[in-house]
Amino acid sequence: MSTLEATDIRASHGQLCAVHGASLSVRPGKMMFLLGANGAGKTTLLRSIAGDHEMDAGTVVLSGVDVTGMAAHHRARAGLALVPEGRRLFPRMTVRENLQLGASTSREGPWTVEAIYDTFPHLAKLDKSAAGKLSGGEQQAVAIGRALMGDPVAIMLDEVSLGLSPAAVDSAYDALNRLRDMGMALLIVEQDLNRALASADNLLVMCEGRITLQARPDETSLDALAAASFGHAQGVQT
Amino acid sequence: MTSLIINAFLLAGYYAVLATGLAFMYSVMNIINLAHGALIVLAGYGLYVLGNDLNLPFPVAIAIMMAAMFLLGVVLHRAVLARAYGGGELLPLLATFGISIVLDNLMFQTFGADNLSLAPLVGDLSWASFELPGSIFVGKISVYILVTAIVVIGLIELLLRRTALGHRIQATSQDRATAALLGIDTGRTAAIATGIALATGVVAAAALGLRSAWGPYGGSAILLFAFEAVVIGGTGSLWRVLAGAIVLAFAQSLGALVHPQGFLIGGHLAFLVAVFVRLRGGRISLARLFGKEARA
Repeated sequence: MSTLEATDIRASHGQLCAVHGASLSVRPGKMMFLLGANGAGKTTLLRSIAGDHEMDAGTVVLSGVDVTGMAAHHRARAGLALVPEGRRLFPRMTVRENLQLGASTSREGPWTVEAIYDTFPHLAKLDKSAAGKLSGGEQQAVAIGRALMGDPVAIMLDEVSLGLSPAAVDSAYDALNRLRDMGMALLIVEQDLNRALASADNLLVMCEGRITLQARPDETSLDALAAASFGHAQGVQT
Repeated sequence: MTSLIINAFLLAGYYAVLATGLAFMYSVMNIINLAHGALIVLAGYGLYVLGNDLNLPFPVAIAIMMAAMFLLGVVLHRAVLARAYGGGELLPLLATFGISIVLDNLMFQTFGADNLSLAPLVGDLSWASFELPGSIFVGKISVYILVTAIVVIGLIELLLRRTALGHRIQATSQDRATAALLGIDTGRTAAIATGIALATGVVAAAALGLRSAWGPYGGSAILLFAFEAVVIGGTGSLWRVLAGAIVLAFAQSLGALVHPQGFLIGGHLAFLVAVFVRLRGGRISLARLFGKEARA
């Protein structure tokens, strides 16, 4: 059974239709990548699934429970986490306070601030630092840690590597791979196609609000991904 | 001169008590509550009914009224403020202005035009005084109000900085969407924050009623002083409200020194200077007027 199943999501910004019926399904312990050019509707799709953006149609099922009618905070409490684009930390609060806010879901699970520091060792010494003063990589680690503090079953990450140094990206993906091994379902928006091909269990490409390609990494190529990003028919159409 | 300075500080404590709820509402909810003064007057009537008509001890009356105003705050948020919040800066202003008019007239209808005071409820405390060296007498009530102002501000700052609820309130005020994504019930959190703001209004009502008397339309004068203290001090930390209250009280005292009728004018001048300083060289907005910056 899939951990996260989104079916025929339609969402718009005012009159502009941003997502025209996108479906996806992420199984436990799998890492799915969502690719596509700017404006393809990836962020809107993620926000719709999380309940941060009101969608026009579609259903979202989490671990067999239909969460479509739930507000964002109830979806978070059901075990769905979104690490938003730009991290959206609370800049004046300390790293520990940011992490503790993530526990607002009141879910049972293994994650504590200390467990986060074990996963991201470089955060431990920043415990009392204001989150706004950290580097991009450190902020991304705090944002991922904050999502984990809610003990989610599925975690969506928007633009994980945007603005990060190559070393920080490696360290973030080390952590994400460990989460996959723990059985979490991951849905990741990524600009770096090579990174996606190397790490993914499944790949989705969006273009103009539609999913134009769905494949496993061994079934596709960099060229096919790039072509699908710009709407040229190649690869496995869905 | 010494007595002038001491009295200005004591007056500042009173203004700080009046302004705390207003500043709290603005800094954590981004709502300028124009019903702030009317709600304080309402709490004053509540204290009067509990203490005078029902003969409850004054501290008990305050505790009951704080619980009642907290609940009223939750209801007020759910019924009015949450709906007005999404409509931009102006809608909460109009909504709370409407509430203040309704409250003013309801209180006039219910309690009549008589001025009431809470001073009889505390016996001789209302005129008791401390004698300082140099034969300076200061009213005990005024001293207690200043101490209360510091305690109330300290407690709210402690709540915001050190408790899980405080962090949830800050998260909700800074970034509602992200707070919801973390599983925070932002509507409930904002309702609790409104309740806390209104509960601090009971302390203000007690200070108002013990220092002097009030009538059913007294809310607008309270709102004016509270508003001036907040704009002069700025928001971000409630200690700045205390600073604003001190500036306001000193400006008024200096004004009174210059001319017997200069008391109010002195305060208004300080307020206008603060407005010009805050709005200089930029667009005019409520956020800039209140010196809005994120909480440290």
